[in-house]
This record gives sequence, structure tokens and C-alpha cells, in this order.
Amino acid sequence: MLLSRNTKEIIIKNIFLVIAATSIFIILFIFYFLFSQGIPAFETLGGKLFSNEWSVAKGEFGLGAAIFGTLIVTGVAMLIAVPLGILSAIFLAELAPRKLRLILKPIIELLAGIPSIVYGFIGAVLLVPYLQPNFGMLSGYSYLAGSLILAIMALPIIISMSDDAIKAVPRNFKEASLAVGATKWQTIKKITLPSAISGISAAVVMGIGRAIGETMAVSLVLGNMMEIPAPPFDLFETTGTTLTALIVNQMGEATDIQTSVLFVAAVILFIVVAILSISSNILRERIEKKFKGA
Amino acid sequence: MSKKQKDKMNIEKINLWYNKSQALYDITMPITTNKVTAIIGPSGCGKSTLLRCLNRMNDIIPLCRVEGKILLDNKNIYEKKTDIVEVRKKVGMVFQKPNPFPKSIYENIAYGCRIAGIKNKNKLDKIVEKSLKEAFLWEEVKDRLKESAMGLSGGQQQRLCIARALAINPEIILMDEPCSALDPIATAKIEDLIRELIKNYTVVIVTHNMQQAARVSDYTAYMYLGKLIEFDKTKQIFENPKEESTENYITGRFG
Amino acid sequence: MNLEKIKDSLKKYSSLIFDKENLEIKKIICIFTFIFSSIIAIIGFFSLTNSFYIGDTSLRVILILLAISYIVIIYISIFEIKKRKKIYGILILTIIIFVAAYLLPLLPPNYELRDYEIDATIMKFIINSVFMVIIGVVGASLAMKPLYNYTSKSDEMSAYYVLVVSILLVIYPLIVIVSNIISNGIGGFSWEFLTQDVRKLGTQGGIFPALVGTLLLMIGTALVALPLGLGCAIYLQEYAKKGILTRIISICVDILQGTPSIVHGLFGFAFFVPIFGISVLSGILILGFLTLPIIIRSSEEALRSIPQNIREGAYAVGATKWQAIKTVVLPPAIPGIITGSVLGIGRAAGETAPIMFTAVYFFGAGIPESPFDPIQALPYHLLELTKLIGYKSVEQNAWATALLLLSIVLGMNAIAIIIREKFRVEF
Repeated sequence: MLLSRNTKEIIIKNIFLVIAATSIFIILFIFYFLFSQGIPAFETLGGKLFSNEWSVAKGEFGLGAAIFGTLIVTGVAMLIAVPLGILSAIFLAELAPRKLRLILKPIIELLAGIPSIVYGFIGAVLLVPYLQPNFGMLSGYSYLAGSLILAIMALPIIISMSDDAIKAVPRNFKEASLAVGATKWQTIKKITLPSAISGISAAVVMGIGRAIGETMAVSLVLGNMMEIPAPPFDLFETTGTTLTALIVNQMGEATDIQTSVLFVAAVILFIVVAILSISSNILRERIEKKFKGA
Repeated sequence: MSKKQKDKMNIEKINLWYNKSQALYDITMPITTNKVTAIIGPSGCGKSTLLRCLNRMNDIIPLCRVEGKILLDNKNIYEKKTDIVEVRKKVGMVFQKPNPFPKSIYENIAYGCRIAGIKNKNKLDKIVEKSLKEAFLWEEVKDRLKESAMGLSGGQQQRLCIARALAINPEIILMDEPCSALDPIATAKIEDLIRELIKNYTVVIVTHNMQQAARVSDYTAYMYLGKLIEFDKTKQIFENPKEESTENYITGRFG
Repeated sequence: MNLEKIKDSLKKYSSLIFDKENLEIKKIICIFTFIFSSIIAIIGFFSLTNSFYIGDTSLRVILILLAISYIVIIYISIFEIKKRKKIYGILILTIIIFVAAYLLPLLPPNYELRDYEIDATIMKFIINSVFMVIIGVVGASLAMKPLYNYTSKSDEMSAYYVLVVSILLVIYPLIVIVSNIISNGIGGFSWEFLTQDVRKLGTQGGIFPALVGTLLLMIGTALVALPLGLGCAIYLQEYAKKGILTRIISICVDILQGTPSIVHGLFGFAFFVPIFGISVLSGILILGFLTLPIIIRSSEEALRSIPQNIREGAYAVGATKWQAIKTVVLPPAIPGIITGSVLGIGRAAGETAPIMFTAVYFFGAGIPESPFDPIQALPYHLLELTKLIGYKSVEQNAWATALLLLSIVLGMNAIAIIIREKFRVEF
């Protein structure tokens, strides 16, 4: 086909435009579909969607217990993963000699690559049987197990992103601090860390996002019952579920209205993760602004 | 006073390697107390590298190896047991590109003092004022000490960095091309500042600007490709250099 | 690292410690206490994770020994180093150790938390182990301080110790997980395992159809996500004008990327399954949409890393936009694009939730004959086996499946990293 060069260029540009538009359309359609499927539940149940009463037979679908489960399991996991992750990132970025860092960084990326079903499997065959006898529990399936697994899963992303953030602090600042007689640790504590705080916060936010969205690993180590433990902070009780585990457990056999409720759960997850995503981006943009002066 | 006592620092046969390639060859020269010593030479001749040896800043560069001695008040700072932190408190440094911390003007100066353990607010206030006055910056910033240092102009930032270095009461101040990022007016201010500073301190300045070296320094060292070609009183170097290489550089035939 | 260097380092370190001039009591006692504390922490940690008990008498002896060494340190700190104010931390620590040495062995073997409505029993050995770990770590980092005469250098060393402990705690689970999977899984690997179908609920036979299914899903995902993702990235990065629209698109891509995989699964279940049924096609579409944002992002970054002056160089010799992209922008970006794609597809291979009610069955699906047939897949197979553990003897096969799946996913990751490093183009 003998086309003029200009026409060819226009055709190619439009091909790419169509491809891009298709991709964006897919993304927007998914958003729309999720919301629309959740509407029937809202119309029928309204506010009762957020109560603690869950009984399929009676038609009561309160997501309260699942929301509680998601919050508590993510919260405890973060309590463990955030300090450990940030300290490890400081080690990796500032303390580790070059050769050690070359070995450790891929190892951390390896941890990030383990599929969640494998974590779930390990949780079920190693962690749960460990917890049961050692803590005198009825069975090891518990929020405690869920939190521990989630902590391990969130660590790699927190470490990796925090390491990037610390490494991104301009060398200028560190040198100026050393030149004034500060030790390396004083420099880290007073100059490097405060400068990296935006990046580290972004890392923590992404870690939270990962923990909240995790499905297979938690569903295999929780008690999977839609109730809040009594007392609520009893991490050892064999009960509980998260929004993600709820969806995956009930998806196959749900009635119409139940499926709609599951979509509400999905939308809640979706919105939360969206907010976390946007926050993380805002935080990372603040880093660029801060170092503009330097 | 013997010649040795007049030397604040003595560089003795310093050799330096970055990984396998050698960057400094057998450098030996004195740094005279309360005088300005300038190190000049074309790009890449090793001036900054040599300067950074004087406060062991090269330690933070991986794969950098140093042999030889540098005597500060007759004590070798490259000995195994040397406390680097103490050395850096005695030998302050100002960098080529001004690098104030992203903190307030006050905090930038107080930082070094806090590190050293000084917490008393009155003491800190006095030190901040004294340092800013010594750096010819006090009048311009005395009403906005709490504002961010990042809001200052390039020349002001550099004087702030000088004040920051002065705050910990060093004995020697190293300056690595301090004016190369500044406009001529700011440069002139800093050159005046340097001549004032040597009343109380010893200054070593690296510069690629020959005229600056001629204006500001008492002694000059000319380096080329990692070797010290000639060292002498500044007047001698510029009016009557002994080496041909020196003469070629001074007269602008290269570099 | 050759033998000469190791010998030199050893000489250097031993001379630091055993140098005749420096053979001070202070150094000996501090280093001894440091090592002893660390060993206590390690013993405590392994006791906690492997459930072995430490006898009462042994515990008492160890703790009292530790406390004595701290008393010596306190003595040295006061009289030799003459820093009285800084010893409060160590003083408190010593008191705690003495109290514990007396109290801990006296504890009852269990603490029934059920009296407080909590479903657990705290066993004595847990309390002992946790105590040992905490005291060991705190003690070791405090023991560093007198060694450097309580200057800022000693704070630095203490902090560094804590940092090292952190990284060790992070690596520990990884080592446990990987070593267990390899050692338990390798036994289940056999020709039979890899080539036969699932029999008797997975207690016998192999995983062949699941392996095939996973491979089909991976290929299909690549076919769906790569063209769409790469095309979208090229358009966004090279053609589109940067403005509010591209920002919104960027945010949408990020949001989709962060969306939990179960949400993708639910979407597919409600949207694709009614159309295509439970089929490999549904699975490919869902996984493709899941992987799409990852490929868009990584391709964008790969394109962005090509400096602008490369493009300008091409325009300057008369190239059109597309010619420039095809000849000077894409080629150096290809390694980055491949890396991102391989990582994305590897991740898709390991996903379970999106394919669960949309593409796979545990057994019976076999090798699909058309895109509308269902399949089996490794992640789902592992899931079902896990659920059967305890009821049927599927453990060996479960470990082997985990090992196989892990090998595939991590293998993909490794390939991606190797590609990234080998073909890295520096500008």
C-alpha cells in the first residue's frame, strides 16, 4: 500500500490511541461494574450492611465482622512489620557493605515474589500447628496467625520502598553533616531519616494496601466465621474473617442478594486501596518538592 | 618559632587510589597556621581529592585507599586509632555547591553544636550569632533565623554553610571551590570573608580560578595529573614560577 | 575473597582485641558480655520457635552469670570510665535480670488466660524464651556502650546492633519457608508426579493437567496484556500531551494495580462466566486485566528512562515520530519492558483467587480442547490439597506442588532480574 508518510504516521498514532483507549476503557468498566453490582445490596439492606449480624438463612448480611477482621489483622500485622521493615531498610541502605547489599536486595525481592497461596499453605502446615500446642489454643486458626502471615508478606514492600527512599536522600546533606563532626548514626538519625520520611510513609502505605488486599494467605489461617471474637482483642480465638476471605469463601455458592453483598465488600476494599494508592503518590511527590532547594 | 611549629598541618607523601587507579602521587606540602593556602590546577588534577584527605572525607567513598601521613598539630590523622569525629571537628569543610540542611537558618548552625552535646539555649544563641557575624551574614538574616535556609540566595546559602562550619570552632577551614556556583558579587563577599577569617583560623582553598588564588591566598600549590608540581608563596608562583608546567598554566596556555 | 585477605582480616581483628597494650579488663568484660548476651538471645529465639525447654536451674545459672558481668561493667563504668550518669540503663537491666533469675523458675507451668476470656494458655517456656530474647538483645546493645566510653560512637554501635538484629529477624522466615518447601517438596518429585493426572482427590497421581493449565494461563495472559499494555504505554509516554487527562489515567492505572486480586476474580465471576462459562478464556481475560496495569507501568518507566536527546537526535536526521520510536526508543527499552512483563506474568501464574470460580476445577477438567473448556491450575490445586490436609494423606503432594509453583514463579522473577541486569543500557 503506497501511503504518504504523513498518513502512515497518523494511522499509527491512532492505532496506539485506540489501544490506549481500550485499556483505559477496561479499567473504567471494571470500576463501573463493581459499583453497579453492589447497588442492589444497598437498596435492599441499606445501613444494615454494616451491622454485625450475618445469617444467610435469615437474609441478614452485616459486614461488620469482616470489616473488623480486616482492620484488626492489618493493624497487628503493621505493628510488627513497620518497625522491623524500617529498621531493616536502614540497615540495607546505610550499613550493609556493597557486597552484602547485592545479596540481600534480591533476597528481599524474592520474598515479595512468593505467591500468596504458598504463604497460605505454609501458614496452614507450619504456623497453625505451631501455635496450637504452644499457646494452648483450641486450634491454631486465629487472627494471630493471620497477622503474622500478613506481617511477613508486607515486609518486603516496606523494606524495598523505604530503602529506595533512604538511598534517594542527596549525598550533599550526609556529607555536610559528617563534615561538622557527626557520626554516621547521628547523621542517619537527624538528617537522612527526616529527609526520607515521605518515601518511608509511602512505603508503609503500600504495605498496608498489600495487607488489606491479601486473600488466600489469610483465608487459610483464619477461623473463617463471621463473628467478632469476645473479647474483641482476643487474637487467639478460632474465629473471624476478613473482607477478602469472606468474598473468596462465599463466592461460589452465594444467592443473588448475597453476591451483591460480596460486591459491596469488594467495593469497600477497592475504595480503601484506591485512597491508599493516591496517598502514596501524593507522599512521593512531596519528596521531589522538598529537595528542590538542594 | 621553628618552621615546623608554624605549620598547622603537614602533608607527607600522600598517595591515593580509587580502586586500582592512582589519583595522587607522593604529595608533600605544609599548611601554614593563620594563612590561606590555595591549591590550583586544571580539572581532574586531584585538588579536591587532596583537600578531602585533610578531613578524611574520602573515607566515605568505597574502594578509596590512602597511604602516607597527614599531621595535624604534629599528630598523624591517618593512624589507625584516630578519632575521625574529633578530626572533623577541628577541620571544617565548605563544599562547592552550598548544601544547607532542609531546616531553619538557626537550626542549620546549631546542628553541629547539638551533635557535640551543647543543649543550653543561651549558649546556642550566642554561638549562632557569633558564627553568622564571622560569616558576614548576621545583618541579612538576624530577623529571620527561624525561616527555612532553603529560601536564601546562593551566595547567602554558601555563607550559611561557612557559618555552620565555624560554629563548632574548628582550627582549619577547608573550602572546595566555594565560589564556583556563585555570581561575582557574592564571590567578592566571600573572598573578603576569607581574608578576615585567617585572623583566627587557617584556610585551605581549592579553586580553578587563578585570579582568585592570586587575590586571596598567601601560599599556592600547583597540581597537575595527581602530582604536586610546585609549592611556594603566592607572589612567587604568579610572578616567578620555577616549573615550566606552572608557567604554562598560569599564563593560560592550557587548562 | 581469597585466603590471603581472610588471614589479613583475622589478624587485624585479633590484634584489636589481643593487642598487648590494649588488653584492658574493660575490653574483655564488655566483649564477653556482648557475646554472652547475644548467645542468650539466640538460644531464647530457637527455644521459642522450636519448642524446647530450658531447665529451671540452667536458666537461673545463665541469668545470674549475666547479671554478674553487668555488675562488673557497672563497676568499671563508675571507677574507670567515670561516667556515673550513663549507667542507669545498665543498672536497671541488672536489677531486672536478678529479679527474673529468682522469679522465672518459680512461675507455674501454665497461665490460663481463659480465666480472662482469652482463648489461650501462656506456657512458662514461652515467657522464658521471650524474656531471654529481649534481655539478650537489649543487654548486648547496652554492653557495647562502655567499650567506646559512652560517646556518640557507642550510641552508634548499639543502634547498629539493633539494625542487624532486625534484618536477621526478617530473613529468618524466608529461610524457614524456602528450606521447608525444598526439603519436603523434593521428595514428591517424580516422573509420575509431573506427567500423570490427579487421582483420588490428589492423594495419588500427579499434577500434569494443572501444570498445563498454568502454562496456558501464562501464555494467554501475555497475549492479552502485552499488546494492550505496551500500546497504551507507548501512547501515554510518546504521543499523549501531558495534562490533567494523563494524570487521571495514571491514577486509574495505579488504582487498578493496587486492586486486590479477589476483586478481579469477583468481577470476572459476575461478568465473564455468564458469557463464556467456567473456561480458560475467562481465566485468561481476568488474569490479563490483572496484569495489564503492571505492564503499562513498567513499560512506561522503560520508555521514560530513554533520555529526550536520543529522540531529538533521530528527529534531527529527519525521522518521523514513529520511525524514531521504532528505531531508537523501543530497542533500548525492550529489556525493561520484558523484565516488567515477565514479572507480571510470573505473578499471574501464582494467582489463585481470580481463577477460582472462573476457570478451574480441582480434577476432571483435563487438557482443554477449546477456549471454552475449563482447566486445572497449580495454585488452585495447592489450595485444594491444603484444605484436604488432615483428612487425606496429601501432604507429600502438597509440598511438591508448592515447590513446583514456587520454582515457576521465582524462576520467572529470576529471569526478569537477569534480563534487567544483563541488558542494562547506561546513558
